[in-house]
Amino acid sequence: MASTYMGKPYYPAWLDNLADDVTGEGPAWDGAIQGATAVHEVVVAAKEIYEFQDFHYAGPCGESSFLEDYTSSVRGALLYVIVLVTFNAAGKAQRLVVNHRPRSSVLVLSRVMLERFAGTPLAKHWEGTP
Amino acid sequence: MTYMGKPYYPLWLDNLADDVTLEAAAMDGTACGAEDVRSILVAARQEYEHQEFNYAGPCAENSFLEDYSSSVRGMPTGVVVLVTFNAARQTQHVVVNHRPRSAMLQFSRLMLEKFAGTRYAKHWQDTP
Repeated sequence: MASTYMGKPYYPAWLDNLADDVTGEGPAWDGAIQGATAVHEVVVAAKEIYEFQDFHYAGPCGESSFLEDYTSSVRGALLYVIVLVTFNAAGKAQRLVVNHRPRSSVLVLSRVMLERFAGTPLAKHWEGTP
Repeated sequence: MTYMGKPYYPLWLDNLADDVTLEAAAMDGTACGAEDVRSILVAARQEYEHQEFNYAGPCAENSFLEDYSSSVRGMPTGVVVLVTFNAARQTQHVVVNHRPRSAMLQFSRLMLEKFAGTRYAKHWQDTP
């Protein structure tokens, strides 16, 4: 899966700098994903599911946050994504909010994530997706 | 509607470009034009039972971010709004993101109820 920003490969450095008690929220799931291991696992899975990531912006937002704005697709459904990462006083990623749109694509992603995590403790976040 | 204990109003809402666009996690498609975007945003704000802002301020070079907690018909709803300005500093593009999924879908159904029979309804039709 190609992930590019301004024509160059892009990797989210914050993903390797998660606080132990980081939380992950978004419109594609219910509840908050808790803890570095779970958040890392979900983000890595989502990146595997994305068919590409074309970044329009990746950089600072306000005093202690980082914003990513990118286009992607999942099973052919175009997906637009805004990620807001908030850092704690130690500079670690404390809160992750991953915002997908439009609604139809959000639900496609949610169903695919349920398939991916079926039978695991994380599946609860996507169960009940219509 | 408060931010840091004081009343808050989104000034960008009164400064929409004629060709402003609106997208959202709870919508399909893009709403275009100041009249349509304003109508939708004003209706959406009426559904919020409160808004408590964690952040409202600049983001990157030409954007503005709102990060707030709300509730809609008793359901806790987190919202991130990204507003992008044009060269004339007018609001050019608005992206509204509700979460979690259940709250996003509830909001979509509410907006469909609100706009049923209007030209805006297409953005929420077929919400499960």
